[in-house]
Amino acid sequence: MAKMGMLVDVTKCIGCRSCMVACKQWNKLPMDKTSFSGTYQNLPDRTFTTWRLVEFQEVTERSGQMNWHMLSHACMHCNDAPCVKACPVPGAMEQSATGYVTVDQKKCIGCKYCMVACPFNIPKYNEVSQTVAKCTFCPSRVENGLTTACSKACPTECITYGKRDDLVAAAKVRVAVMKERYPNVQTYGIDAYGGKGTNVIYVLKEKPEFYGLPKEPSTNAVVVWKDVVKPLTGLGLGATIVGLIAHAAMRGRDDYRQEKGEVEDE
Amino acid sequence: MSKLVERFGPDERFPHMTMAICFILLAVSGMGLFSKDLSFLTAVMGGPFIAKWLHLVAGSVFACCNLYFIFRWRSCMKIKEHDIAWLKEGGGLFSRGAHGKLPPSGRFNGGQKVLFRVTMSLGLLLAVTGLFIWFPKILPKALMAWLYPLHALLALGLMTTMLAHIYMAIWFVPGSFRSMWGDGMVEEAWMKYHHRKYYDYKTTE
Repeated sequence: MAKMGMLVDVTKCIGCRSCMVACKQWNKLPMDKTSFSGTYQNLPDRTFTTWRLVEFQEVTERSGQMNWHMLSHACMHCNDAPCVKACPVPGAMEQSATGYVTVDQKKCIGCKYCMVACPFNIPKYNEVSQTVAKCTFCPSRVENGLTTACSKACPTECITYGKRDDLVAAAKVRVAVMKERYPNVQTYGIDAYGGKGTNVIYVLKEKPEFYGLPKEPSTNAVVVWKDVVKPLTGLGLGATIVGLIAHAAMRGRDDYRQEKGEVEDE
Repeated sequence: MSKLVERFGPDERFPHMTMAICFILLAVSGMGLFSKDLSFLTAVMGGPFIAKWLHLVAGSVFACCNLYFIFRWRSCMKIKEHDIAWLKEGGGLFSRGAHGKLPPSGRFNGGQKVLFRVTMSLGLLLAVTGLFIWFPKILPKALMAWLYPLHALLALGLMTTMLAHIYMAIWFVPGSFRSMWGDGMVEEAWMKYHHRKYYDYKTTE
């Protein structure tokens, strides 16, 4: 099945936060209390009830003029997602055939494995429900022929929804076009994880680190855990049981009654 | 039937029993929470959410018992010269009739002392890594991510050690099961056969 995704092109973002509002509205997410911390960014980080957040980087240009760099950041919906790999409960965190990752609030047990596995710090924990939540790619919309709520609300087409292949092509064209104006412009997520990539891809004006994104998102620990240690555990336990059975068969018991002649020497 | 002597007192048997029950609960729930493929193990316990809490509670009790035994057996688990000689003979584990050649042991033999050290170390490391997995925000994420495979590896180590321990207790050494899971008694002949030094010490007291 064709992978579906979103392209977030920060060169088009005006920081209006319509995406955040649309996300909250469609997903019926209550407001988080905010406090002024000297930035235009609403919250310091995404929360259990704020899945999408427009992050503001405030910089002073060489001309002395102040400038904002905005990034509407939420779940990247990674292919072969590490959170899904780490999740121990069938059906709690699942990846659809088209590539998006959902959390089932009824099945999640709040083990927080996904929170550590995610290179982007996306899943957020709630103490009361003892579950995690994150952007779900609006399954109730995309499965019914609509686009995601955030991309629908975006007034500048900074966030667009579509087939991943089309978005990858569009991102590359956009980088080529914007190269002159923004020398550091680059795509993000297309070739992550050794080529598997993410389904939400970004066109960034600056290096990923500038936006607090990992340069090379890594899933090594999850892969070692699930693909190396897990089979090793089966092998180790199996070998031990076989070894003990062999020992029992060959060595016999170490019985103190042998000396008294109460039992025959085995 | 020869005379009975006490091998383990209630202050050893009941903490051991607690620790053993916790271990079984931890192993089953832990493996169930290891992978989606093993979720039938958490289903047996009443679902993954209950299994998670069982794992956390049993783990806490296990860690306390672990510390208790390090304290309780601190003096009788010291590895001495005769234990090293015992270990060099392979503890009589690998050939029939080898037991007679073994240097006599104290209250615990060299093998038991090694097992004690391995078990207590693995238990402590599992408790520490487990605590960080319970509260994953304490450590930086780059380090935290590796605690999961580490915790699983340590658990593999403890589970294999425990399989061997259980095998020794219920099959390989007749008479020992009663000393820990029964009334704590063994026959005098058992004590003389397995722990000669300790037997001599007790009888000449």
